[in-house]
Amino acid sequence: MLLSNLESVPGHTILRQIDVVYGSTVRSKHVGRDLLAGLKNIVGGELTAYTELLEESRQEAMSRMIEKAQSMGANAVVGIRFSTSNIAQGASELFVYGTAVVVEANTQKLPDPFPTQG
Amino acid sequence: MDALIFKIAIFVILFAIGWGFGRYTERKHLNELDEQEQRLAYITLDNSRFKTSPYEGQLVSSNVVISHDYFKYVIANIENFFGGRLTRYESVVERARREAIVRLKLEAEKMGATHIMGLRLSTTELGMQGGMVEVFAYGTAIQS
Repeated sequence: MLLSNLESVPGHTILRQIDVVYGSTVRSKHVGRDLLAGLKNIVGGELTAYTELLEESRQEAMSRMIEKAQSMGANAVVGIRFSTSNIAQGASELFVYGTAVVVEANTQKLPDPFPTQG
Repeated sequence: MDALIFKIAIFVILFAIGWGFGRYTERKHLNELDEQEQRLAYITLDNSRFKTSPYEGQLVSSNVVISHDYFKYVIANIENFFGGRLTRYESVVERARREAIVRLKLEAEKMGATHIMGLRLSTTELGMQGGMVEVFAYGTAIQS
């Protein structure tokens, strides 16, 4: 599955647009992590536990989106956008959406016999 | 009375710890960022979504969560009272953004890419009492 957040997949041509696909997941952190984060709030710096948690959750949202795209017969998702929102205390929703398309790799084109001047 | 003194003592200790460690981590982080940014300067960025390239590309993403320290929290609360710029928090957000971009470039480096197209950055505030900020960066890395 090819993924891109542009209007097209670089090096490929879009043959057919299928539909918008999306995936989401709602996650919350557990108490232990929250407690550690509270301590970290005093000294500052990066909260590695949260960074990892959010990354995992985004991966999950993305794999859900990819599953949907695959079931529709797409081989790429273009125009991917992510959004995050706090829906409840301590829980956030990670949402990802894009357009499922069928793409084809650009084959080596023959040289243009009548190149445009200038 | 004792309880009040105890509370004040805790506040002062936290304030001092926040000031000391906060300054130390911030300096260390900024130095690391400068170093990494210089090393990764060969990977170029753009945020145009209509540009295409004949080369192969793949989505890359990175995120980082950074928290404030107690010193910043107290100072920001005071600044908040008077309004205007919260300079202490500006530095936290800026560090988070730079870190996210550095990580994105590291991710691109792993693929052997030299350019990232269509960069997007999003910032989210986490946590109930605030002060935890997440920056998420994504783009399409091009192997050229």
